[in-house]
Amino acid sequence: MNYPRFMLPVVFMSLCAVSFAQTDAQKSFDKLKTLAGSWEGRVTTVPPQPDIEGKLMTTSLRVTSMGNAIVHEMTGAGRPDDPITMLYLDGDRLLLTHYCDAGNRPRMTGKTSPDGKSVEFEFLDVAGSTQYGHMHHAVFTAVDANHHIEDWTYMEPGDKPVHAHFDLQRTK
Amino acid sequence: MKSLRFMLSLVLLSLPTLAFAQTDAQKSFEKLKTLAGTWEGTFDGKTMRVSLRVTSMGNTLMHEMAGDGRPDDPISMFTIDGDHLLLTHYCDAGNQPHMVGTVSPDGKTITFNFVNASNLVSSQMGHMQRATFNFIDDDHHTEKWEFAMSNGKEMGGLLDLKRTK
Repeated sequence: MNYPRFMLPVVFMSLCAVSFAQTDAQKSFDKLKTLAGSWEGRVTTVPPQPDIEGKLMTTSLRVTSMGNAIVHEMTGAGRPDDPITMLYLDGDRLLLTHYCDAGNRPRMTGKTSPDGKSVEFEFLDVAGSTQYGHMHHAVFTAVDANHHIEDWTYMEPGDKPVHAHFDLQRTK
Repeated sequence: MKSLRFMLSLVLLSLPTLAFAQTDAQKSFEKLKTLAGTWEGTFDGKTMRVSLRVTSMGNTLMHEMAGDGRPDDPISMFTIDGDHLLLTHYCDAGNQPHMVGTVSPDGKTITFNFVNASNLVSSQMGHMQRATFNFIDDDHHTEKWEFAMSNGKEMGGLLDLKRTK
């Protein structure tokens, strides 16, 4: 076969997804895909974190792997942070793996809220050391096509939660 | 603690790697980081581009591949997990193989072999089985990606890559 299947341009795979009824996880995944683009907004924290409180943060979401994954990236002006979060399906589950600046990789499972506006991720497990804590919870809320909110909860050692609220407007 | 640990500007995280002897996995990870940049080569007569980028404050290396006129855009993430160098491949096939890396005795090659995969189902064409990175010089490396098809056969491709940035 001349056409290289290496790296898998498996068009029929996407056809299968269209042909059959979607699972809740697939619906949630497709909802998250509508957030693809570049976003910018201020962060507020509870308890207040002087290092980032009110800072302008930039987020990008990009559909990759021929529609099978979403790459989420967040950076802040003048900050070294650059965590990557991968969102993908595993059977009937919507999963998130957060490649954390802390050096660990928590996984979370996501579900859409009853009103259909939010996808909420609950902690599943974590690979790597949690000596300095770990990301524990995330909620994506679509307000409209150009506005969404992300709420991330980081668990510091001793199970002390730090909540960060990102109010994001689409820039692209 | 005043210093914000959320989003984790934890400078001290990098200190242990400086203070203590590195494991083989850490050494291999640092070697892979030297590939950070953008690369170009050909596969099956078509131009392929690879980018490698250090992210997560040095804790992850992100690999991305795309080709002219091709829809592929797989992402691979390299991380350290204890004494292991791991690769997770977010495959265009829809599964996510996990591979563990070992370095060759001469230090010039790192080979990642399949351990397991998430979202691996029989209706898929198969899964990525092995990835081999060969370091030639600062501006030249090769990548061999081998795919295990569900019918038991294997296919693969060798990318001969030159640095463009």
